[in-house]
Amino acid sequence: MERQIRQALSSREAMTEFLRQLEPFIYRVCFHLTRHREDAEDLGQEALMKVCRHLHTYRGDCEFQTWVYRIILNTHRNLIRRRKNLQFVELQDTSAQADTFEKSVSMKMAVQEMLTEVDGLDREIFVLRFEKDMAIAEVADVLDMKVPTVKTRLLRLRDKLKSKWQQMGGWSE
Amino acid sequence: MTKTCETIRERIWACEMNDAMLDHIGQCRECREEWEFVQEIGQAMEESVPHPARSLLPPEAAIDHVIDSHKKRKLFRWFTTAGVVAAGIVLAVQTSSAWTSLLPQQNQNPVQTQTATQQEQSVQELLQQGESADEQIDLLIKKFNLAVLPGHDQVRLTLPEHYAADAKADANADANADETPNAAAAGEGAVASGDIPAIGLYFAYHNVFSQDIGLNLTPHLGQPVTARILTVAGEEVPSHRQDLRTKLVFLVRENQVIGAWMVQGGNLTAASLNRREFPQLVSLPWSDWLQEQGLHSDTPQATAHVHESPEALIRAFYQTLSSPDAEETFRYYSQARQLDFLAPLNRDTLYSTDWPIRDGSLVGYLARADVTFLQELEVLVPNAPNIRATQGYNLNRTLHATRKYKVELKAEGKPGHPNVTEKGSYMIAYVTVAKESRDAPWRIENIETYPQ
Repeated sequence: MERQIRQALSSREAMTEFLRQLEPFIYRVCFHLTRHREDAEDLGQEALMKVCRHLHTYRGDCEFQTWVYRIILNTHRNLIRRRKNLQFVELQDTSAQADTFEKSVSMKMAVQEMLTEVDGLDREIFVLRFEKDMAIAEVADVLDMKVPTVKTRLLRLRDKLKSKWQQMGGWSE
Repeated sequence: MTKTCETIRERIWACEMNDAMLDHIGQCRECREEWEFVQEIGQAMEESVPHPARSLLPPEAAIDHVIDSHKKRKLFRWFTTAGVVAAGIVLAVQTSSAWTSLLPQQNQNPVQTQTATQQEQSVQELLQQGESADEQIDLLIKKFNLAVLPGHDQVRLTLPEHYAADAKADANADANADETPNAAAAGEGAVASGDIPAIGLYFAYHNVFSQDIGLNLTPHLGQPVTARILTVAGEEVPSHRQDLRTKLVFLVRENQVIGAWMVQGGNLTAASLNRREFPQLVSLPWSDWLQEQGLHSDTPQATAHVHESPEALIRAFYQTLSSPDAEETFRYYSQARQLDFLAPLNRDTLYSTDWPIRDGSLVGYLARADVTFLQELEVLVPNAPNIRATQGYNLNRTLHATRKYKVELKAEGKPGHPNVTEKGSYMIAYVTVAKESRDAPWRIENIETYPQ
């Protein structure tokens, strides 16, 4: 990774290519955090800019992916802070919703509904855990939290998700 | 469901599987269903993301600027290293008569032998290589890839006896004083600034950043220290503004660095030398962190400022303006707000003493103020927002409750104030009160002269 970063910092073309490879991953995480396409685009753009500007400070003391996750999460938190004086209503992305309604009872809908309802930190935990199939210890590392705390919150999210899923007739125990 | 199944299902969610568990999943239908359920979540998340409508890549000009800056930084480091080497050669030539005896010592000099392996060293190991605080600061600056402007300010002060709220601390406003390696001498001439509210909290907060790089202020509480303040050349922390210079603070005791952090402008903008900010280092909400650190001033000892209702709190707050104890007013503010008032870096005293009760500030110019009318406003004050801001007094906080009041005051100003006469006049204030946690008392969160 160090070599890739050195190379990225050597020219505009190399940096563009480096960022282009990160773009889909950053956008996906941003979408799960914001639940809105345009917000995800704005957030993703800001996060990519920060990655570009601060790439030289990455010193390899954590996984590069962890470092990028932290930038995304901090940028997202800053975005929320900037909006704190506004009545912030999270909008559902219509294109995603339309797709969801086609498969009326689905995991997608349960996940989306749950993510819309939970608070910021729970959403971050869920997105980190399932976006890249991250182990709970890694999630705790990215968020600088204790593993048992993350686990407790994750299991609470599990119950919430199952409850949603059950309401949609998709779960029987 | 057996205990084993329950454990395995929790492990499936935590992504902590091993071979034995996978074997179990193969044999147990319920656990297999749980496994499949979890697999479906990842798939559902991937499928639910719409395509972006535009490219998110930064503009080419912005990328060019980053690349240019990086090249300049590399060049700067090269010149710095070359300068150190050149200085070493000059020194060696000047002392050629003792060349043989000096050679081993020069090779051991950490300032001249900065290598990649040094990055991996712990801070404690690194500090052992520095014989003086000056050398240790140089080593830390290099380890964390910081570039600093020439010169520094120096403040002598005594750390509080403990972090708990209302701890006392003495501060000396003797900026640019000469550093002395003698601890007793460092304390000499320190002028007591009185019982400063939240000063313990100030150092507890900054110790979080020191601890992130392996330093700890706690064993040095109550001791005289010197704060060295240097200016960073360039932007270092993502949330720091580009138009304000970031400062580095090194606390030195007995010629050894015992704490370090970086800070910018006003508000709670501190970060560790690792460029990590408070929410990245402390995963707990603000009130829980205070509780965990034993810093919550909502203890029985501190209940003198507890009032049953926000209305009673606001009336009592304004009554303190005529109290002979000026700091009394300060204690009616929420703890985060108290810390926020102290946080701006001051080159003479380290922390800010420009509190709201001081002359020239919103309530500081009032000699006396009686509440004549008080009304709760039906405005949208964010009630218990999930704000995990990186700076300001909303830092990592989830307020339990907030209310806002319109307060009419019959106020008397201190002599010479242009807007409030000494004889008295009526004025309006908009006061926001908050509970920082469920069991916390109401405290003053903010005062404005106009409704927001």
